[in-house]
Amino acid sequence: VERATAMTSSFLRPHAASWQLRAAYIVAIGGPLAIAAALVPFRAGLSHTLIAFAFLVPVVASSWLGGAGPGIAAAVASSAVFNAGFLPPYGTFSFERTEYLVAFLAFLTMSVVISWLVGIARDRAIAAEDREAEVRLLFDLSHVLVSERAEGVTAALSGVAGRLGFVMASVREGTDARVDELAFPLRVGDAPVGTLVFLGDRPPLSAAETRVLRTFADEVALVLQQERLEHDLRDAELYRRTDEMRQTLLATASHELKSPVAAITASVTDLLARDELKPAVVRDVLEDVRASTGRLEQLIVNLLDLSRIESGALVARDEVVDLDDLLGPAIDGVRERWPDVRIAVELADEAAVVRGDAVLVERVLTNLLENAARAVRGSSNRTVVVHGSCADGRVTISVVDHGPGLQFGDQSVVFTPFYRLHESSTPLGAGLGLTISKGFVIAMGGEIWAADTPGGGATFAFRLQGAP
Amino acid sequence: VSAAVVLVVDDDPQIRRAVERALTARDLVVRAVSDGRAAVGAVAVDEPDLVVLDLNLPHMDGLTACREIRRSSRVPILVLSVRDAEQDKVAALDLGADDYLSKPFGAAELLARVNALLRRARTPTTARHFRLEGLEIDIDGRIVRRAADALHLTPTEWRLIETLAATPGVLRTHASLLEAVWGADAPDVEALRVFVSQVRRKIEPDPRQPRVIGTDPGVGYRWLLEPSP
Repeated sequence: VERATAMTSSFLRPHAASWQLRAAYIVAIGGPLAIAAALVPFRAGLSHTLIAFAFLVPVVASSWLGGAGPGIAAAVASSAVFNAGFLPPYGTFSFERTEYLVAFLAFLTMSVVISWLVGIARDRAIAAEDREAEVRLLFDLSHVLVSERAEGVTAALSGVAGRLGFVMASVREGTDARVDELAFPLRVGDAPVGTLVFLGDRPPLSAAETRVLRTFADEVALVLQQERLEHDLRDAELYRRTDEMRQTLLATASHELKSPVAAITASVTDLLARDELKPAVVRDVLEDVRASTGRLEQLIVNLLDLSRIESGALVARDEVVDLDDLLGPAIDGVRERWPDVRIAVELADEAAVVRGDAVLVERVLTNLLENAARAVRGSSNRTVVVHGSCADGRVTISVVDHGPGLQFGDQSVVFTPFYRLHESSTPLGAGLGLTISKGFVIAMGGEIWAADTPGGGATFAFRLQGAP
Repeated sequence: VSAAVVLVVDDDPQIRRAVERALTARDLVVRAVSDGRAAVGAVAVDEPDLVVLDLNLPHMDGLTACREIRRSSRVPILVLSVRDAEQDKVAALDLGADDYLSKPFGAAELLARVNALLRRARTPTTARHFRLEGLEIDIDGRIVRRAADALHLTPTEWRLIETLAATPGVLRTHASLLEAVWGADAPDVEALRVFVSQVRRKIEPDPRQPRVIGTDPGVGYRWLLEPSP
């Protein structure tokens, strides 16, 4: 009976067990009477054995419907009707002959035993079905948990809550639960992971349901713990990569600083060691020394800028900047170094003025132009286009080249210090220009990005506030 | 005797030119390339007498180039590197490089290393006799004399001296010395260091300023004495 009430409200096996029980008792009492009514006219011609078998039908039927209780009721009812209606003297419960008494007792015993056995079989079948339903539910919940995992545990839990007739399910930090809520502590081993709480109005859980949910809670705990471990792992990985990047930065900076120094040292000591100095050789050496000191100076300026950016010491002025004024000198500088690179400017009128720091904007333009010029050096199309447009009061300046383009995955890493677009880049490109440009643009409240040029090549663009 | 050909491999144009200028001025023929792959090709085509190889190269790094060159050639390799990391030098030497020079370097240092490697390649040392002030080392006779007194050396100490003296001026890494002196059951580098200082106390005129066995910190040791006739 306890199970029957639980089942009425259960998501496990929603049987209508009470009507079944009622039907079982109706069969137990009504069955023998109906059989008697049907067979009484022919009782003289029928053997007692055949009649007894007929009376076993309601016994078996009611046992199967309602278990041992209705079965025994049917056995008693059948025996009584069998005795009164078919064992002479008819209409009484007395026995004409001793063998009738024996037949009666045999029938009674046999029908009780049969109803008892059928009842046991029935109970086992129901229990097996219940177990199967439990397991199936657990499978379903696990499946929801795993298949909706991609959208996060929260999405998976709300799916599970819906499946169980709750409004929602959630995981809470900590292990304390209120008395009026349905909560399952989540733990893996001794480590508490949180508390799984089901919200919503529904009848109390049965023992089987509680069992299923407790097992489900264990799975949720495992999933959550795995998620946390993955998260920790990502953090550790991020930290490791930051550390690695710093190491690389330091190693590259020291390499970039030492190379020109090494060139100068080798050249100068070579001259000092010679017995006689030819003017042509001296000039040659001095040219190289000048190139090396130029590289050193550029690198030192860049490193100082980088440290200003990284330490937050960089303060950008907020003034109206005329891009036309800045583009001229920047383009001239690039033309001087790369005479065969053609630079075209397509600047819309409303994109010609921005708000920012003129010095920083000039450095960004120069860096992007040099970067593009360096990229197109060996290409057939050595045109670089500076394009400016204005939308929603913001000006976007793009430097478009048709060089070898970004390598796959380059889009954000190109701004990391000492990143080189191409393996063959010579040390002449110190690899800090894009990093510094990014720092400058961000300091002016803008954004900068890299993209592929349609048809091949790279496009570097930055966006600043326009100045109407 | 035709002029020796030196292949200079460095991606930094100023360093490449400085090395080239210094070597050309001393009547060496210089070929210069700027990456590892080109270096491996140039060794096969030009058959240089010496390779001056930078470790930090595009396309194929110096260590890989070193290994590739050693597949087909015994040409002496002088490694150039601005890296301070001793492990890079050791890796290059273990891959078959003969010596290294840390950047920045002076022209005199470069020329000394280049000449030593070229000389050794041309005239493999057969001399087994060394002299330094009152010290006399006779490898074949297994005799070390200081101020006419014969010094007693253990068999292991002899093996160390023999190994180092077999290649005068050549840097031997810790690993190669441990292997040569002790073989399979070699002790660790620390033990080698203690052992070398023990040998120095016996043979060096002034153990604090070694002139027989030189130290390349973190890398190895080399025999400093020139063979005497």
